[in-house]
Amino acid sequence: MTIYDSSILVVDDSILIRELIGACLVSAGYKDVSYAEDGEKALALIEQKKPDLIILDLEMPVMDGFEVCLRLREDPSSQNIPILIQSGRDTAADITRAFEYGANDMVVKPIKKYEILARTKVHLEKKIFVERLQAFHDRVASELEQARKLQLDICPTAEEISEFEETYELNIGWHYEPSSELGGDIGGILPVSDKQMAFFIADFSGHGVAAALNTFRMQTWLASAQLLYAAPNLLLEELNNFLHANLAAGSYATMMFFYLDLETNELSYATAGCQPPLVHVTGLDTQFSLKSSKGMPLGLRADWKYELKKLPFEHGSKIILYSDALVEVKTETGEFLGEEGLQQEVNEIWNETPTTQALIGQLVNRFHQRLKTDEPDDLTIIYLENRKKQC
Amino acid sequence: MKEQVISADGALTISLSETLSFEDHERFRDILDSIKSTQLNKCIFDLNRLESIDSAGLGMLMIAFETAEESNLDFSLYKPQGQVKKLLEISDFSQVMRIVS
Repeated sequence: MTIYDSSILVVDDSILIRELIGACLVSAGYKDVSYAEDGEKALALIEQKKPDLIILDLEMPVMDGFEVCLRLREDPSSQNIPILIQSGRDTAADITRAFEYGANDMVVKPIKKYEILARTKVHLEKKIFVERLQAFHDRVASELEQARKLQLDICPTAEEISEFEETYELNIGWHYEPSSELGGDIGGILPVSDKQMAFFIADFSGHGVAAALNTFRMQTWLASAQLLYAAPNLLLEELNNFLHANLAAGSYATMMFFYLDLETNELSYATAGCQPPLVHVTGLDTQFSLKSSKGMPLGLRADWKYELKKLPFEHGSKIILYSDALVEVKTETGEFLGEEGLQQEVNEIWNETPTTQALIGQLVNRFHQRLKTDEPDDLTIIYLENRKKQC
Repeated sequence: MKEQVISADGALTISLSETLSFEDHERFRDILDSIKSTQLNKCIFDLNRLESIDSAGLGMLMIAFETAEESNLDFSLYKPQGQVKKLLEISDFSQVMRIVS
């Protein structure tokens, strides 16, 4: 659509002025020009079809131009139609009133052809540009919303979590909320057999569409790497090389990958620079403590070696994984919560109400209460507890 | 990010302050250009006054290191503090580049 396809309504009680303005517009190439002789007739026409521009006289019988402006601006369906006033009333009070009532621009009679054409062009071009921008914005917003839903879809569902809890005799808590923008968090549970399973948490650098698309890339890669689940360090080494070959320079993912063997009650894992997990090992710990998650983030250096770490994970042992958003909020004292602060809070909450729901619920509540930052980030919290009784 | 690039005493010293984040990636290209074009054989990133860094910023430091590596420059990060120091530690950067504390 060009500006010359726009519809223009000319409103003036003088037939001479209407014809003069109409002739200017038609001679310039505008094809859709209609006319009204007073405010009331103009509103009736606008009701039937919204024009792209209204060229409006102020002094008219029945209903004047000020009233037309007011009525149009009160109605959401017409409040954005540009109004160009053409009037002989050029006192400061008239001009002020016209703009207060919602006019966009004003030319003073007598009508000068090139002036009215120049103003008409400006307002129609602006309207078309704004509409195109709005359409583009709406399309992008709708696509981002769909992408957010897809990201939610790759998290385990409540039903899947219940099944995993039953199969592996675990308590599992899962909380994932994508930021208002798209983000790069991903976590998952990967069943291996009735007695073995893997789980992981990862976060791609940066935010937005690129980080989100990379989470799908990782999910696809992991689905084809089942043979490596039992060897988390080797899995990270392979994944690191894959990401190094495929990500843009400087992009990376932090990750922790765990393999839980419920026959031996052993948790083996490897880390690539994620947030340190909080672990409470039965028989070793009296409370949750931070474990090192040190490691070169994936994708930064080719052929990097990752350490295989092991932990006993008997009945009652628990682990909490979380994304950086959880600790990058400021507490009431103005300090960042940090990992140590989180550790303290987790132990306080756990001592008071030792349930998965209470723990995750409280952590999420506190996070939202503290979230004042203008930098949105994904939030992921994963809790796993072995509730299998010894044979 | 605020940056100051000085060639003196046989080293290209890049001093960063405030925050190194995604928003700085265009300006960081100029820093990379100065690493590529230097005739000196040492490159020092002075991080003493850098208050914070995000994931994109960490990636930029790795790119700076690799750029220096390609030109056979001796590369080091000087005195990272607080959150910057912590992120470098957790990411094992000291295994790749020298970090002077």
